[in-house]
Amino acid sequence: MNTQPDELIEEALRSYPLAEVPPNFSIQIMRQIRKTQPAPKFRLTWMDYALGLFLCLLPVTGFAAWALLPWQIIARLQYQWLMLSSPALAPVAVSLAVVTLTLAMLALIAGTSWLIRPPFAKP
Amino acid sequence: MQVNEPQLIRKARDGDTEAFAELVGLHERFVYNLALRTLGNPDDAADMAQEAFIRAWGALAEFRGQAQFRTWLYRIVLNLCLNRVPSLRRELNNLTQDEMLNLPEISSNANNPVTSLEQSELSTHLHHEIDKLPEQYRLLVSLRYQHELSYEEIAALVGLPIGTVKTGLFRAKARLREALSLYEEQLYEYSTR
Repeated sequence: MNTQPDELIEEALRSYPLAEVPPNFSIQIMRQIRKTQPAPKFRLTWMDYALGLFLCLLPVTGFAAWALLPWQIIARLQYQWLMLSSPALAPVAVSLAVVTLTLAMLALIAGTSWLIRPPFAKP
Repeated sequence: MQVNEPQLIRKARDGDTEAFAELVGLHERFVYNLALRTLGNPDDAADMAQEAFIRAWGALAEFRGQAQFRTWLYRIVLNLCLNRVPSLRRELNNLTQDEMLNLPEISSNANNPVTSLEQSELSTHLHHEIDKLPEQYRLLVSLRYQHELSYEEIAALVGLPIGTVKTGLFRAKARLREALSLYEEQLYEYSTR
């Protein structure tokens, strides 16, 4: 092996190893950063506006739909409600109500936990 | 998994500490090594590197992506190191281009029997010699070979003309050549004794 000095030096410079960082180096940095980090600022996102709009439109839409429905459909709905309220259909109606309420509650819990999750929450 | 650095930077800028932790993980080794090669002391280097990341976190809003995030971090850590060692700035400024003309010519010892030594042994010796280089040369060598920056990037980082950077690197190599030559002579003398 009769390598020229310049090649040897170039090779040594290129293979000059990187030192390992001290243990827990990044943990210490992040600990200091989190210590000095101010509390997250209150900030409205597009989801807040969308939810507000949806909640405002919901009763308005319901009222408008009820007011604008033809009398034949209103009469039909009232007839169906009477049918559903009859004692013969009570077990079915109660079961449906329970299932619907349970699903609604689950959706509400899941949606709420996602919506009001603090930004970048830490374990 | 591919790391999307611009996305991490955007998230970190919005206050996501997890994203910044990932950026720290990506760059900690290079930032620490730059501080280590500049200061020469592991404890000081760790302090400087940590301080650099903390400052980077505070100044992330100012990072607009004109430069690479890596070189932006290097600039922060280098400024901290230069503040810690004011003599280093002076030494860097002393690396003027005209010194290139006065560089000693070191003869190649290609015919010397010692050159048949295992390359790895010589490499190890040269690594020790790199550690012993004056801090201004060590810094330039580290930026060029460990961090693989171009001459232009190094010049912008240390605030010197490109020619001066090249001179500095040339002189660093000349010193290593000198050290290698001396080492080979010593080995030759030892083997012929």
